[in-house]
Amino acid sequence: MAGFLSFENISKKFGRQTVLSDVSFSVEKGKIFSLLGPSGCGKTTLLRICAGLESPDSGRVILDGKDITDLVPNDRPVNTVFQNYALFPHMTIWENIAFGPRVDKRPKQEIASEVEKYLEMIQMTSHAYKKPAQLSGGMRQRVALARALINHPQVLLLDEPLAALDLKLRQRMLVELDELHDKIGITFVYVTHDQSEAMSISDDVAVMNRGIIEQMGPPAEIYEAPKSSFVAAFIGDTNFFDGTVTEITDNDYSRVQLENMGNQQMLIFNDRRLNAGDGVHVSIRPEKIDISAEPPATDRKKNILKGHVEDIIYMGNSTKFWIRVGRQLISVQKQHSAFLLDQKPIRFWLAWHADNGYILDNYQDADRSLLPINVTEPQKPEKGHKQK
Amino acid sequence: MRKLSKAINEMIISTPSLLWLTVFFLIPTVSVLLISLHPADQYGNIMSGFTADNFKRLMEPVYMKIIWRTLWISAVSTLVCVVLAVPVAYYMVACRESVKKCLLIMIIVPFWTNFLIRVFAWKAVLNPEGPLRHWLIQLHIISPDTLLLYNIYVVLLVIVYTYLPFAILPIFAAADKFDFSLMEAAYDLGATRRKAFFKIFLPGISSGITAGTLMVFIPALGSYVIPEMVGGTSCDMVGNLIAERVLVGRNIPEASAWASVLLMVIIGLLGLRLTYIIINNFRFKPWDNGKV
Repeated sequence: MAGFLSFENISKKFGRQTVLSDVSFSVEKGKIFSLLGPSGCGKTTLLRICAGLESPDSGRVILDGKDITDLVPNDRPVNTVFQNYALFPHMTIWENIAFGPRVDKRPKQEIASEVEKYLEMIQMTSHAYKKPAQLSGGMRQRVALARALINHPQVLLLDEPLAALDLKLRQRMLVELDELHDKIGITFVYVTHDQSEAMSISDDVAVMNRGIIEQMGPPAEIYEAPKSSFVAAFIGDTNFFDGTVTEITDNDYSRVQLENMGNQQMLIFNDRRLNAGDGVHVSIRPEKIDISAEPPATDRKKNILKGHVEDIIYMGNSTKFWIRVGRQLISVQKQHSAFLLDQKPIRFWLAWHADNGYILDNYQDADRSLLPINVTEPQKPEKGHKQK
Repeated sequence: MRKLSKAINEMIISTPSLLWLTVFFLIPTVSVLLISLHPADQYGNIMSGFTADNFKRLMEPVYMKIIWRTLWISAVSTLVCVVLAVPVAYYMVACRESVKKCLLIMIIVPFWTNFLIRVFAWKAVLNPEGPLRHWLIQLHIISPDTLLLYNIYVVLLVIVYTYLPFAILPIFAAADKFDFSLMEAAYDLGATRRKAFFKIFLPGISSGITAGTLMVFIPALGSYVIPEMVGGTSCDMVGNLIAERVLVGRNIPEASAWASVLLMVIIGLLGLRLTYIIINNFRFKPWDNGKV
């Protein structure tokens, strides 16, 4: 793996707790790379190892061909935007941004003009002489960015930089961050637990769980073709089906007998060359399933199920249906179709193309407790949200 | 209406403490100041009429020397206390919670013994016939004719010993609240450990350092027992002079004048601190009205 920034076989324990076990990956130059995972998955530790604030028990960190594993933080050409920004409270914004160049002993005039430049970049020139406590969250975030970028790092590390902001601001900052990245073009390593953040900003995403990388790739690939149940459940919503392969229909498709749905069968794309009799676990995204009150037109590659409505949740931009088929609850997400909401039929037809079902590599039964609740049993909506 | 009743409520609640402070602090302080302006007769009685003679006498070179000595002993012991306390606090906050508690208790434990007894203990340790001097002579660290007691350095030592906890506690409290991720941010931005300590940690605990400074300097300024017991006659401080004027010289107005001098130094210091706070807050205000 030859990348710009490479992590090679990184392991780390805190006491007896393993935080990272043999993690390897590399980041391409100039890309935004996200480490995504639930809290405690080791993503922040990985970032701190990169910054030099933590040292790995084993493994190397290679940056631009140089081994930086044993360098102290102040000798590394990387800078961090910390989760709580860690702005120096006793210094003005100007002094905060000037901190790096000052300890670097750059000439005074150069520092002044650089600081002005970065203040302008973050549009905070008029706030230069305020203290951090007088700024809003979004402003502090921008100052933290400028303070890191003024040192011309080769890699910018961002540790949940938007976690402290409210939703609207988060979305705006995300766009700003993306524009900033396009402008300066350095490598970003972005740590977050928020899948939508990771999806929208990254060139590549590594989904982490319990100290390992479950899956790595472009956001679309991770969303569309999750390899493990953890990834499927962590990134967006999904439906899980357990079943047994009954028949290989042709080279590409196989027929699966579903466990919880009586004698229902499902056609899935068979990219793993399964054999009849194999047990499989399949994930289907709620928005990939079509829903209608009338029987849909049949198609050889279409799976059609009939079910009863359990609940309909109106969510503004879309509507979520909980449909019971046998013992399985299936969630379906659709843009509004007025007739479904108005007429409130109790019986629905579900249909999805065989290509939209994904066979998961490993289905960690033991890990079910870690998964979002709707993986094992769909979460019952609260009464207040119920469609009347 | 509501505001008014709230104000009245606050007044009622604060009355007892205000009364206490008025009766036992403000009135005595003002009387000391007033007495210092009265003349005394030869028996030390307070006479009527106003005079500045008591203060004029303080300007005599003999006394100026004592004022000067009091100031520098207090300043040096304060400096030593703070310089010792900062690393202690820095170390303590890095400890585990249980160790932290143990260390805190160990700092407070000396207070379980009476202050006078602790000073006597120093006297015993440093006694000319005591073991410490004996050993030091044996090891050729000091010459046989050196006395450990009754010099200015012993006064400094015992003052530092006595007031060190008063410096450690507020500085520890400030350091405990200090956000150490700021240190990481400083390292990340290229600062060495040394630089981060001086540029980020010290300013970050400045409130604790100021509090510790005042907590040591003010009582050190009024030291009486320590110079009296371990300092001997050559190390008199203002406190000893006041005691001498009251107990031996029986000149209450002059003693009051001395006390007033100490009071003014302390008020001056607190005033400086207050001005600093006000200026800092004032700088804050205009910006707050801006669009934040």
